[in-house]
Amino acid sequence: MALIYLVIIGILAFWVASLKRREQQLLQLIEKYHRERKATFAFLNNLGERLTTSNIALEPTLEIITEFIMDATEAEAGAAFLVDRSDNTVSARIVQGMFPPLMPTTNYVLTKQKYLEERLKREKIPLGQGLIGEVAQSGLPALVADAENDPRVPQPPKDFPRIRSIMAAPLVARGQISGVLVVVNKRGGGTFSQEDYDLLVALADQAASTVEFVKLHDEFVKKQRIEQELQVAHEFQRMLLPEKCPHVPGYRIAAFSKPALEVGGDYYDFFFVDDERRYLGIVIADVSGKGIPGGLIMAMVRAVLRAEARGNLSPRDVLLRTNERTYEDTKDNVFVTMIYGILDTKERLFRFARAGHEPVVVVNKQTQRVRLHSPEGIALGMVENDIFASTEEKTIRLEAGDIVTLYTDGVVEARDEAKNEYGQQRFLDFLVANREASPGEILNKVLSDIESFTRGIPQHDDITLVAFEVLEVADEVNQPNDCEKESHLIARAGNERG
Amino acid sequence: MKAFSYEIREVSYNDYKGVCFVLRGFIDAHTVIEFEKAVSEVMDGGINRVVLEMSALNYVSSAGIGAMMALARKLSQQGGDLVLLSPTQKVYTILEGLGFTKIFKIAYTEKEALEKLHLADPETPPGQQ
Repeated sequence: MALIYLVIIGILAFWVASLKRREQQLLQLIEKYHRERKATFAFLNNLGERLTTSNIALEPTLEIITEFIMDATEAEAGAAFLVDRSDNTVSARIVQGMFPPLMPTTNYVLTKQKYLEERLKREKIPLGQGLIGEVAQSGLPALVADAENDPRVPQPPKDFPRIRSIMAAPLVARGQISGVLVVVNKRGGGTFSQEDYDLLVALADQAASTVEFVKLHDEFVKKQRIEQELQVAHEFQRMLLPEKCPHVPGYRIAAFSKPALEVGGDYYDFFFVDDERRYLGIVIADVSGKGIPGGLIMAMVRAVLRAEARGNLSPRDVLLRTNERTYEDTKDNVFVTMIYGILDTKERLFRFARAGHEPVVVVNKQTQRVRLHSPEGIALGMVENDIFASTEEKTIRLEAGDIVTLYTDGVVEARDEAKNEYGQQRFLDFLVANREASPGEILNKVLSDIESFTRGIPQHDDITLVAFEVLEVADEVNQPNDCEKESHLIARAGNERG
Repeated sequence: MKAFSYEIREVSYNDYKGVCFVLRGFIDAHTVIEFEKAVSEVMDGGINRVVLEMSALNYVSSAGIGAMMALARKLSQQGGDLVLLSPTQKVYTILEGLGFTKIFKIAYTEKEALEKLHLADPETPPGQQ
């Protein structure tokens, strides 16, 4: 009987003990969840406090996350790695604490923390290689409690703290692995526990969507900034184009420019060379670079040319001086083609020089004769003046009914879907066919004809045209001012892309 | 067909070494990046005499011509030179319009190209090189 009691007591004692143990386990589990929850909330709070809408950016966010996971897991060092899909590698973006190199390596100057950090950030780990590469590829977290005996973890050279234990958790958002969070060595010499591991995985889960959001935001802000910059540059370039074509008795003048990119390298200009307003300087130019650099070179050339043109009646001489002053400042692979002419409005003489530009076209309304003028000349900015000096000057005597047209290669090289060029012949035929129209109308029609030829295929080159007609009667007033219309056209070209 | 491709061939005479790029397709603002990379890699290898064989190059935009001008300038700074070999009529017309046929050395046979690079001695009869 006593034996039975003893057995019952024993069973009871065992039951109580196992209950106690179970309770202990449950308490531990609750404690663990509590810790995870607390950490997660703290993490979100922390992010929310430190990231306001004005300073959302990828690097600071990753920095906060890295600091936080180090604190939460009591790690000596931590790092945030991001996956680069363009070359299937993963590399550190943020490194905190004495984070050891993870690729087998030599020649590290390990005494310099900053140097090591930079090296780590430059290091591209192929997906699948080593512990971090594996996590980045598989999307599965890893805990290596005993890192000293794990082949996936290369031990750093001597003089650097050994990797005792290491944990890595993937950043997975929208089904994509975007990075890996890594912590190394438990503070105080211990190794990471299962609990630390679960916490890291939970935090990485939380961090992933934050990182994704910040990345998108980052891209958006960058894109917005580029667009804004382009808009400013575009406005700047439009400012450089004359707002109106000059009123010159006896002539009708028109021009327009349609940039291919937001900022083009083409420009045209009009200015009187003398105070009596007899000699009209006319410029058309094409900078070989497009975008903002092309626009800036255009601004420089325009300023130099305007300064040199003042009082100088030789276009060749002005181009020589312009070349001399811009040669040093243009990059080796950038050049500017230009026609600079001076129209003697009294004598109906057009004297010009051609710096590697498309020819001057003269169509006569009455005779329908087409003349192309292409005197010798070299593009600006490429050679020094001893060679550039071979550029010639030509003077043509104009008659009533002559329409002089200057254009950039974007006109004749406009392409349709099958890559056929609009071509010089079609352009010349079109000018002859439309000779009865005013210069402004002609230019509008050319643009429409190019558009109907290209059928909406985006053009890679700016399209710029300048035309002037010699009128029968020298004192005709009330001529239409076609440049005003054209600045309107430029605005339209800008809006089309927006 | 690829927009732009090239092959590299070594040309040499005595102690001098040069490289011939056989260019195909067209060079525009996009493909020029590949062209620039290829020539700068060759120049990094210490080569300063370059022939660009252009008979299969259909079109060169201003960006491409700018890159060739920059290459010519860089090569001559390093005591070398650049020769354009057999440009098509279309490409030649573009170069001529820009006034660059006065600046570039242009040849129509490989021998002429090598002579212009001083990789072959014009005095030496054929067969003895």
